[in-house]
Order: sequence, then C-alpha cells, then structure tokens
Amino acid sequence: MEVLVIVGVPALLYFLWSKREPKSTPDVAWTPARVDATDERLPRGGARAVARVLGWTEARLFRRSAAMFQGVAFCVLILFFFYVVFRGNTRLSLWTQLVLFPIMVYPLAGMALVASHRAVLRGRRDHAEELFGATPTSAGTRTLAHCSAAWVPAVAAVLFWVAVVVASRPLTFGGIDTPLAIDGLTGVAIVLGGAGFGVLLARLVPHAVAPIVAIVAIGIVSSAIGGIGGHDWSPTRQLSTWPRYPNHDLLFTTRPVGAHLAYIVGLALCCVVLAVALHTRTPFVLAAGALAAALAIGGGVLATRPISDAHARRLASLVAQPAEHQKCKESRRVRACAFRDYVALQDEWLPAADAALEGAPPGLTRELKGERFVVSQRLQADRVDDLSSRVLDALGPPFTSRNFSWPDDGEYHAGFEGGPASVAAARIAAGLWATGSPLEARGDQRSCAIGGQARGVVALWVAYHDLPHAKAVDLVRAQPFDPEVYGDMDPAFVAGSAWPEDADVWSPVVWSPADLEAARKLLGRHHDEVRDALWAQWARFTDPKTTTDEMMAALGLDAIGPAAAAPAGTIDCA
Amino acid sequence: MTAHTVEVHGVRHRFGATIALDGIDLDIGPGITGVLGPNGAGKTTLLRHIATTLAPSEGRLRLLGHDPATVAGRLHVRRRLGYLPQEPGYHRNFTAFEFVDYVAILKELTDRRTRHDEVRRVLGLVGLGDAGRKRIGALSGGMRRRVGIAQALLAYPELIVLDEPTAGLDPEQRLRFREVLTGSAAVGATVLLSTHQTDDVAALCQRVVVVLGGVVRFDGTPVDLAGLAAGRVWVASERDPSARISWVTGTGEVRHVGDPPVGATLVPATIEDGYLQLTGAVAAGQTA
Repeated sequence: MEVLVIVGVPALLYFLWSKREPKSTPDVAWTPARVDATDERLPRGGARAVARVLGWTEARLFRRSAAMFQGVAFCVLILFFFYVVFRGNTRLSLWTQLVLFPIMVYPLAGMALVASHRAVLRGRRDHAEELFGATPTSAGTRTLAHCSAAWVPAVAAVLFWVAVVVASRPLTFGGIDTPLAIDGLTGVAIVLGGAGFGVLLARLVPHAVAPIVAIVAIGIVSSAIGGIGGHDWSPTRQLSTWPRYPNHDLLFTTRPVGAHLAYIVGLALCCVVLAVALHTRTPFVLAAGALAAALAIGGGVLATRPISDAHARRLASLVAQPAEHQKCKESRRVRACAFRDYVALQDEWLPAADAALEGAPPGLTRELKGERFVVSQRLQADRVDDLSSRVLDALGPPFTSRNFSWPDDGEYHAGFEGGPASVAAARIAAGLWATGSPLEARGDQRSCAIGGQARGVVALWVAYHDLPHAKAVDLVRAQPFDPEVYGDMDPAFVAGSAWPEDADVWSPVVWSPADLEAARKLLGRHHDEVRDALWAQWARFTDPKTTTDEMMAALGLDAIGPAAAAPAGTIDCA
Repeated sequence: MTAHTVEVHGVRHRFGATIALDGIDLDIGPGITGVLGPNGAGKTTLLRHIATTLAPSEGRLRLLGHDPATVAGRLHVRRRLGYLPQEPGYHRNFTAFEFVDYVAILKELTDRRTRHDEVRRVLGLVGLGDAGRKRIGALSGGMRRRVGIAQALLAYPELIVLDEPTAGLDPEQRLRFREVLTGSAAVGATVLLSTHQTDDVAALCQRVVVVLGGVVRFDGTPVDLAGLAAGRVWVASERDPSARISWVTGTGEVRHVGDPPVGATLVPATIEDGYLQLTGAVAAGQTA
C-alpha cells in the first residue's frame, strides 16, 4: 500500500500537471507581411538526413515525455527502496546488486516502451497524419527516427547503472568484472529493446492499451521462463532476463552473460528492423534483419547450451578444493582465505578474530590444532544441493550424499557476505575455536547443543570480551521468537542462539538461554579479573564435562541453573 | 509541355458504397482557384487527391508534371506541395514554432539554421512571429489556423492546397490571409482553396469550381458564377413564395433568387446569388 502511495501520488500529480490546460494566449494581431518573390530553392536533405534530424527532435520529445519521467521516477524509487528503506545489515559483494540490474531496468524499459509507442501514435492521436502524410518524408523514415530516439532511455539506463554502483558502493565490496559489465550492457539493451518494441507495437497495434498489455505479458513470460527448472540450473532459464538464481553464490553458477547479451541485442534489433520493414524492405533492411535474427537465435542457442564437462569440473573444483582457488592473508593469530572476489572480507575477519583471540591464553594457538585460527570460505553445506546436476555429477560422493556436511577440520568455514553479522560470526567462531568447540553444523543445518557446557559460555566471553559492555551484552542476547521470521523452528533454538541471525553461515552450536545469561554476567564483570580467572583454569573450563554452574561457582558467581533441554533437531556436542 | 500544374481526369472515388467523386475533370494552372460546394459535396476528397494523401478509385491525376500514382511522382509532388487539411492536428504540447519546425523537417529542411529562418519567415507571414514560443494548446482557434497556414507556406511551395483555411478567422485576419495568399500566387504558385465563404472567392480567386454531388457543376470565373443569377435576383418588402430562395437582409428588405415575377425590382447578382442559383437549380433537377 505504501509503495502504491509513494509511486502513485507523484505519478498522478505529474499526470495532472502534464494534462493541465495551458494558460490561454490573447490573440496576436495579424500584421501585414509581404510575400517576397524568390527563386531560391531551400537546401533539402535526403531520407537519411531527415531520419537523423527527426531522430534528434524525437529524442528531445522523448526526454520531455511523461512516460520517460515516470521511468526515471521508478529508477529513483528503486534506488530509494534498495539503498535507503531496505538497506540491510550485511555487506554484500557488488555482484549481488549489479546482477539484478537487468531486472531493475524493467520499469524504465517498460516506460520507454510506452513513450515510444505514444510518440509513434502522436500524429494519429492529434489527427495530424493527414498533414504528415502529404510531406515527402515517408512513414518508414519517421519510424526510423522514432527508433533512433531510443538512445535517450538508453542513456538514462547507463546513468541508472552508475547510480546503482555509486549507491551500492558503501554497502558492498568487490569490483566490477567482465560478466557484471555485460549485465550492465544487457540492462541498457533491454531498455533499447523496450523502446524499439514500442515503435513496432505502435505500427502493429495502434491502441493506447497495447503497451500496458505488452509490458504485463513480457513480465509474465520472462518470469515464467526464469522459473523453469526449479533449484537446478536450467539452460532454458538463461533466455529470461529475470532468471531465478540458485540459493548460493554465483561463483558456483554458470552465467552465459555474453550469449545472453547477444540474444537481447538481437531481439532489440529485430524489433527495430521489423518496424522499419513494415514500410520498406530494401536490401539493407533485409540484411539488417538477417543479422538481427542471427544474433538473437545464435545468442539464444549459445545461452542455452548445457554446462560443458570442463566447466562443470572447474565449478566442482571450486567447491571441493577451495584452497586451490583462494588467496590467504595472515595476522598474528589468524589466517583468512577467500576466493578472489571476496578478499575484501579478509579485512573484516582478521581484525575481529584477532581481537577476540586476545581473550584466549597466550600460546594457545600453538597448542591447538594449528598455528593460527583459520577462516576459509566454503560453499555452505546446505547449499550444495542447489548446484547444477552436472556439477554435482562432477563432484560425486560425499557431496552427493544426503545431508552432506563439511568435516570439522578445525577451520571456520565462512560465507560470502560481510558486515556486522559476518564480523560477529567470525568472533564467535574464534571463541569456539579457542575453547575446542565445534565449528561446523552437521548435515542439514544441525547445530550441536552446547547448553550447560562452560566452554560455550567462555567462547562467548572470548568473542566479545574487548567490546564495550553494553554492546557485548546486546550481542549475546537471543532474538524474540517470531513465527513469521523463524517459521517452524523450535522456539528453544531461537531462545538459545547468540549466533547473528543475518549471518549466511548456519550456527555451529546453540546455547541454552541460561548460558547466554551466564555469558552476559561474565561480560559484565571486570575484564582483567575474568580473564585472569579463566586463563588460570582454561583447560578445566574448556573441558566439555565442566558445566556452566561449576564454572560460575569457581569464579565466585551465582549459579544460573541447569541448561534447558536441547532444542529439536540439534545434535549432542559432547 | 503543359501550362497546367494540376490535371484531374475522370477521377472517381468511392468510400464503400458512397461515391464521393464521380468523374471529375479539371485542369488548373497558376493563380488562385476556389472550390465551392455544400458539405459532403466532395470538395475535401478532391483536395486530398490533389494533396496526394488519397489515391483515386478510378481516373488519373498529374500534378506539377508528375504522376502521383507512383512513389517517385508522389515524392516530387510532395516536395513542392503546401497542404492545410480541413482538420490539421496539432500536438498541444508543441509550441507554434516547434510544430512548424517539425513539419519543416518532414519537408526535408534538414539544415537547422535554414530551417529555423524559414519557420520564422512563415510565422511572420501569418503574424505569429512573436507568438512562436506559445504552446499550441494555449492559442485561440484563429491563431491555430494561422499556424496551419504557416506550415503550408513552408519552403515556397509551387502547389498550395488549403481546405477551408479561413474557418475560425475573424474578418481582419481573413483580409490578411488574402494578402498573403495573393502574394504567393503572385510569385507563380498554384493555389487551390476550398471554402464556404463566397466573399473570399470573390476577393481572391481568378477561377472558381463548384462541386456538387461529386461532380463539377461549374468551372469559370467568379464573374461568370455571379452571372448565373443575373436577372434572377430581386428585392421586395414581402417574401415571395415563388422564389427559389429568399432571406431578409439587414435593411429589412427580402432578397430573392429565382424566377422574378413581372415588375420585380431586380438588383445586381453576387457570387453568392450565383452559387445559390446553381445549387438550387441542381437540387431542383435543372441544369444551370
């Protein structure tokens, strides 16, 4: 409803403004003027020159059109909603934004379609066709001029792309690689295609409702094609400008962006050539038509090719041997490894985990499984199912087994998103690592229930010990249970979870609400006293057999009572 | 080589079952020719043929030495044609200048400076030089008509076809219009205009054509047209039921056209009298 008001009110105001009656002008006297005899013949241009000059004029009118204004207004609204209203708490890769660009430009492309349709029918609407028809300029030349005015919405699309990049920059990381640049060009081509299709549609269906029906139909068809194949990668889906992306990082997906761009450009050109061919079928027009058809068909065929074996093997290698494709960066206590486009996340993980591990006893890093706490990116186990079947075939067991999970190799397997949630998860993971707790959920999002174990509480203290008290306590607070958010999850799980809910990695452990209370008490006490006491009996407190109450008693704190029963669907942490 | 710029031979035009033109033959040369006729007589259809926007069902035309039935012929004609349709459409959000400029582009004036000079020239001819920046939606009906006339005068057309150009113009504007049109004719253009204003024909045209029922019923000078009613116009204090048509004039006298009774007070006939005599005679099934 709010969206309707926000979109509708400005659109209505602009509509009323554009339809207002102009202030009438008093009659201007017709003063005598002499018609001079002249033998002068005014210089005239040919059809091509007329198309060029008329194209500029139509471009100016396009820029002034109400539909174009609405298209730009939609772009501004999209920016507003994406980057102001629904601004998330996570820091995403830039691709997560730019890959949506071909969808973001739909309203602009739709309005370009309406604007060009209305421009073509202007003469008819104003009953000026009779007059225009008596001029030496053919309808074909006029159609060509209308098509050439499509650069106006195309420029708007380019500016929109720049605005998306600028607006998303503070919230994202990573750069613009070739596929993302091609996505941008695809968006521009979609807008060009919208304008071209508007011209063709006006010549075929000269009715004001036609563009609206066309926009809805294209949206439905594109959405339907984009949904073909469900979770699996589908070749047919690549024909849609609105493909459903799998529920994992696009790093592990095949996106034939070049072929898709050729396909879209081909379709856009087909619209233009068909519109012109309705009036004139010169060899040049026919050749352009053949080229456009070849581009559309060739692009479509290339885009819908199945994933090649070589490519499937490469994707499988990214999943199964991530270390071979990652770059690592080290600090004193932490080693962070990330795929090439995600190295920016290393600068989030390293300082956070380093600061957390200051809360662990010196020399611990050597005593535990490795020299350093290792954070490395992995495709989340619960998203392996979403890989293309060809990639799964290349992976083979154990990836294809039901409820696959990564082995708990003592490393924290980070996800692909940054921001506060990712930082908090890295801190907790560092705490879990320092206390010898599990770092990986099992199977199908099965966390281990660490409730009642002192090491779980120590892990939380390590995670946040260096933060201001209020912030640390706030981070160790479970979210209130909301059925709309958590669905059929066990409320006990939510009540005992200190894992950041926005994190894109499933919580390796789940605490008991009493443990969270204990952690908050620890964080509330004098830092150095708690640290010294924990370090003095570190081996005892990180022993899975030591209960939270035993530790609280050893620290001279009140008991917090027994842990709640393990939430449904969890596994034993012992 | 013919001196006629417009040659119409045996032109018929049907709109479905309706015959709009039924075998028109006309040869028209430079100068101003008026086309008179009641509504639905076929004037507009005839002018649309001459403006190349309508092709005849039968017959042929030759305009400015070219056959408009061919693509090349039409192109040649349209390059030298100025046309004001009966109801020219104006985009309300265009300014007067933009509208005329748009038509100028369609008339292949692609050089910006030349075109803008030409647009200013024709707007100046119709007295709208200073109103070019006004939106057409804000102009009165008379001013819009003047914008329409201006676009028809673009690029010194050799053939000017104007369908009811004086509709909506006040008397002073009509006088100015006559000045402009006679100026254009003076420089050698062929001007065809259809009108219901017989005084425009009297004041402007060297030749008048009366179309009735899709057929040319009169083709001659305005004096000849007036001559049709010579000796058949009289005034009286009372309405004479034997008259073909009669009306009360501003002086209170009743003017009659028809066969005068013996002793009637005859007065000189005007073009309007001749036209009424002709249309009345045709309606009555008589020859003029």
